[in-house]
Amino acid sequence: MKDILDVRELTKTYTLGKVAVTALGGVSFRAKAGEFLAIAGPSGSGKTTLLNLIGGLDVPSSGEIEIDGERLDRLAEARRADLRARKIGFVFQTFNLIPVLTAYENVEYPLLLGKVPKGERRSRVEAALAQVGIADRSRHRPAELSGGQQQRVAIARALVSGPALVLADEPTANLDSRTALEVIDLMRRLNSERGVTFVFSTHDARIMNVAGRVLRMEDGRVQNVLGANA
Amino acid sequence: MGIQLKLALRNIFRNRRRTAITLAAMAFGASSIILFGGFVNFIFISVRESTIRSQVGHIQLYRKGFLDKGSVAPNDYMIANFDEIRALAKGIEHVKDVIPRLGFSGLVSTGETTTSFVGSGGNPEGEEGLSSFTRIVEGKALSSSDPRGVTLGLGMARGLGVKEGDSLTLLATTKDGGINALAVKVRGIWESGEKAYDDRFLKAPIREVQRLLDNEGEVQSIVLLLDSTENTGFVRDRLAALIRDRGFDLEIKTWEDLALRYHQVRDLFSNIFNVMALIVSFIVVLGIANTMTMSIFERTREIGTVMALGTRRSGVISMFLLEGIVLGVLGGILGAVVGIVIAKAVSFVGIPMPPPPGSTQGFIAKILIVPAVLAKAFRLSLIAAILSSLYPAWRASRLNITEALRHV
Ligand SMILES: Nc1ncnc2c1ncn2[C@@H]1O[C@H](COP(=O)(O)OP(=O)(O)OP(=O)(O)O)[C@@H](O)[C@H]1O
Ligand SMILES: [Mg+2]
Repeated sequence: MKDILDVRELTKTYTLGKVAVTALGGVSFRAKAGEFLAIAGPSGSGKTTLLNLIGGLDVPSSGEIEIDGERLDRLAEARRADLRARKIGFVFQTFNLIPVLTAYENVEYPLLLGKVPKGERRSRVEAALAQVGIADRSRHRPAELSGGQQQRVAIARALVSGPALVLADEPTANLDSRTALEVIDLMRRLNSERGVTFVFSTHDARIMNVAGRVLRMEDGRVQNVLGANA
Repeated sequence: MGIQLKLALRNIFRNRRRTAITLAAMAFGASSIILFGGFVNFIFISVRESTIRSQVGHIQLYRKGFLDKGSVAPNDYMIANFDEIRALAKGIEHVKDVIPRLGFSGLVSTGETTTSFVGSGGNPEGEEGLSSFTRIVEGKALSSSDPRGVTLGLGMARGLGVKEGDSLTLLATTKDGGINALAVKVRGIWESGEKAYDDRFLKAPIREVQRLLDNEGEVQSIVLLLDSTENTGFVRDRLAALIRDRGFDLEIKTWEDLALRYHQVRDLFSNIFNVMALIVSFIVVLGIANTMTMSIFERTREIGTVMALGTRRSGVISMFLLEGIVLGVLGGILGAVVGIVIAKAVSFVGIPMPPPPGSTQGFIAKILIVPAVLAKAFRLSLIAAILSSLYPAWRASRLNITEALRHV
């Protein structure tokens, strides 16, 4: 399998007034297509910062990020937005569906950004909703859905445009443990059956157990990598 | 429906109470512009029509040179072929009345009291169209059956101490420079509402005036009244062609050239209207900007989300601008509806107005529904909505994505 993600010597320093906070102090790793990669570590270890940089939501202080052969760190802002639309799916801790849109419309949104023609859009949205098991709720607005259902819709939205990589920052932290397990199960299944590449952060030991590899972080550095061909 | 428009509409109706308040502010702004503009247009048209009907007519014809030099040597610039011109002018579509004018001045005496006057000789049968300006308060209007009967302004009648049926003597200079006198009777007393006019003016049948001035058959000017002011341009062009073809030594003036006061009133009120529209728009801009700013603050995380999904910053700007435009269109339509309803209601009742300056009679004002004013109110609503969305939309687009995503 080829590398879908290549992170080299990534650093990120925040300056708060005169104090410089090093959130990432030189992180390097790779992920292959079809991986299910967990990022673990104590609070403040830099998990969110790392995922934000990989997702092109923020720019690194130094280092390189290559996604599916494209150098993300070199792109101008608008190009980065386009790359996110094409190659990256996001799942958030707080679900972040657009409240005025139905489940169907939320999932459709990335396809509209990608200017996918109408007929194809419909079949892809319906397929994505079916894959996450929420097809019967497609006309509902987020406020009419439970947290677990919202996160399923969010996962459908993340994978509908066929991204190279889905990033998820603590996707189960806002769910009760049973629902969290169901969501993990869903992600795992999409990974094994559909080959969707997941890179996600978590505090949840149960997710780490099902992960192919676990990247353990501490103080903005990779402490160790556990799992298959680490 | 495009996703952008769908988002704009749904977000607008998301916070119904706030949207209701914003739309109410916009409707208030647009309808005040429509109402004030409609009122101002009523004043314009009233002043225009009263000036035309009572003084200048729609079109006037003069001998060439009269307007420049006629005041010094009026007798050199008389129109001798009035009857021929009248017949031709009457043949033009939309022409209702063709009225000869012969201004003169001199002294009027009761025997005991003498004062100066300014007078006009009119065609008794053709003056109806122009007479709405003066209102008979005693006696009757001029009549060809009573060639020696004259009518006076109320102020002049009081000053002379005369009433209907009293005898007067008019003294004036003839065409050749001699002095001539004419014995007349007071047939009627009228009031125009303009004091200066009522105090100094009298009217007499034109044939008697021609006899007094010893210039049989000659008039100074010819006034045309049309069926409607809108047809002035049409009739002017036909007259111009006629004058050219026949080689008449005449020049044409329309009410627009002659109604100076109308233009002054129009300029003044237009300026007031524009200042008012500007103030109203400014208030509306502040109102919408406030709504937009609040709504963007509340939606910070959503903005972060759509940017994370790959919406460009320019896309965020257009999203909020579109919301402003939709708000502007809704507010403009609502304002137009409210404005039209209030205008109709107010016009139905009528606004009693005090006498305008220089006049003694009040009048009932209405609010006209003028398409140009409606369009202006709508345009201003839209511009105000777009202007007031610009800055909030730009701010939204500058949000830091990761911070916006953390926003609760
Ligand atoms: N915008 C910021 N400005 C300043 N410092 C920041 C900012 N974001 C993160 N940091 C700092 O960077 C470090 C890493 O933070 P980060 O949020 O990546 O940790 P995390 O591993 O995601 O923690 P958690 O498990 O609590 O979510 C922390 O010390 C944090 O205080
Ligand atoms: Mg975090």
